Amino acid sequence: MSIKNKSKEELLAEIDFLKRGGFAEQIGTVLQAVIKWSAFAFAAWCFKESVVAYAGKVSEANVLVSFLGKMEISNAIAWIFGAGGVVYGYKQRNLKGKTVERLQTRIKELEKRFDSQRTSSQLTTTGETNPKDIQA
Amino acid sequence: MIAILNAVSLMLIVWLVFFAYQAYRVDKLRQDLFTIRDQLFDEALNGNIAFDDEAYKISRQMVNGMIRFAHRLSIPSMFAFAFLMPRKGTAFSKGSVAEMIDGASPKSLDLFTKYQVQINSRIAAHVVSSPVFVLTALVPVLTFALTKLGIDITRPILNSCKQAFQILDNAAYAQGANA
Repeated sequence: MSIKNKSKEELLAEIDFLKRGGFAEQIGTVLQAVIKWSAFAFAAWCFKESVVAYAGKVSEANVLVSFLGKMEISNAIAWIFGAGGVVYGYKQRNLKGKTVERLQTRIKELEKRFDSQRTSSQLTTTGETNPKDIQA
Repeated sequence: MIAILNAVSLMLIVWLVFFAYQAYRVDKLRQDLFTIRDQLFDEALNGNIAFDDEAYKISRQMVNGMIRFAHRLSIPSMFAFAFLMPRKGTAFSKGSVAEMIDGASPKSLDLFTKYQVQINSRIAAHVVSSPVFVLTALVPVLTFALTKLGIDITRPILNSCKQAFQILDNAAYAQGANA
């Protein structure tokens, strides 16, 4: 529908729609940034308080510093970070494999239309080494 | 010193959850939407719908929009849109997707609905799996669900025990009379 075909009422409604959409989008973006950066600011504040306490000064957040200074907390944080990193790495690899599979399947199909004798590297569909090629 | 190292680890966890994992989620959503778009293309290629059919063009444009703005889809955005956007029946709704698809053939409409459901389900899964949602909304939702489940499970057990308790009550009453 072109602008010429729209009535004044429809154009005003469209402007209102777009304005609201832009406003909603901005609110969403700001809220998302607030949540994300608040978490990061809290962690940075913990770091600052820990350094202050380490320097020998009395910290305003002694309870927090002594909590962070516990060995069990240290172990828990290390485990969470380690396990989280492993899961993240695994998921990234999985996603990469799926992307290769999606793109390669189509490329293969399209290339076969022009070259019916098309040869293949014999890798798996996800781009990994063919199990037959792995030396025992 | 341990406190300092823990604070650094805490910052790294925040980076992992809110930055690195967030970027992964967007990539994953885009990958799934690309797959849906490919399936739609194949439907047209196989003659199930024409490439110039309105339903096809709208569906494809919708997926493209979702792919382009996938990085902006979040719980806060969804709430902001739900509260701020005009409801049905406004003048602008005349140019909406629902209006455009209205005159489509039943076959095209079926195909459009199929892909619309697929896209929306994927978006819902993306929004619900966000760390922000998990941290803020999931705990109260799970508490409520578990409480309800607990009540539903214990009710028949208590009902089946009711008779046993009545027998016990009667026996105790009789014993009390003899005492």
